Amino acid sequence: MSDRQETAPNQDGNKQNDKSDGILNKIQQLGQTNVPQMEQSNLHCITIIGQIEGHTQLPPQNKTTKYEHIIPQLVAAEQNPKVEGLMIILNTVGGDVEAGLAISEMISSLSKPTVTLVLGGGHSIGVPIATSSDYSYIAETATMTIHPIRLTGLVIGVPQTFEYMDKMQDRVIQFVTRHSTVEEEKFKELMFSKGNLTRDIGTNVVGDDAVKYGIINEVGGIGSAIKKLNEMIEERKEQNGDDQSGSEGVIQ
Amino acid sequence: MILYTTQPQELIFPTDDKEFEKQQTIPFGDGHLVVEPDSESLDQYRVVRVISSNPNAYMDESLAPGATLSVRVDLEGNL
Repeated sequence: MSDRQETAPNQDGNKQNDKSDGILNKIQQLGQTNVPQMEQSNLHCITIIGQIEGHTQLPPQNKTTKYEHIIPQLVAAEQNPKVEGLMIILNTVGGDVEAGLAISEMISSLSKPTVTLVLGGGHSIGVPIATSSDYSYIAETATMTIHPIRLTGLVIGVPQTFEYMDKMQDRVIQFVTRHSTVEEEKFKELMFSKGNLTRDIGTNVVGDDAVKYGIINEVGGIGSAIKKLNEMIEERKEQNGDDQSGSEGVIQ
Repeated sequence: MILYTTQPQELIFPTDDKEFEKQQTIPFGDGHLVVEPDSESLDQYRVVRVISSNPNAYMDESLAPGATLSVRVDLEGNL
């Protein structure tokens, strides 16, 4: 903030120049000069991309999803009456388990309809996030890697750490089985299967298979996801309407 | 110099961290904007990234990545 105050505001600069520069920059960045305008949207969209960042900030080259960005957005979406539904788009390699679970719990506890769409990849801790919504979609070519959680760095107190990791893994398994139709046995089988991944145990589940195992509800893209979300919004409106007329009856 | 390698270019010549240090995140109406100072003029910032859950924020031409923002500081220090 302070360095911006130091640079003295010079508003009358060469405005004409700015304008043409702006257009030039836009062509460079977007490949077009005009982006279509639209009406106020009742849907909000949160993208979860790159790595899910935990307590340590990753080097700036990494694309990260920061929970200090995501969680306030979820709070705002829940609280803003103009937002009627939430779309979560995932293309993540996973990352911090607790940050991922925090985001998942936030999404699953929203009172508004939520739809997740896995595009590209929803790996590792992306799996509970993908299942956290009311209805989930996966693109046909998208994949999800299911593998046991792991830890890097120095470990002191191996038995305790092992138990801690085991509990943490249980939290992930519990979350996924509670929020999707996959059986605990099946999910564990996928998680601990050998020979599928190079130098790791686990399974890489592609679109159709994720639906077959019950992790994801349906194979689809943005069109079907938004259609579903709009249907859910309508249903919720009808229910709320019924509730209101019911309560009015009681008051009278 | 020609390098014959299977390594991706950005791994051999990583972007200098100083490039990222220039960037700062500022709040705007519906979320945040990641901006970096314009190399030519001191009082201008270029939008690098829009962080918002409102899809309309991405439709706003004046805030699209690549757009320049002139610095205008009011008494509260808001942009």
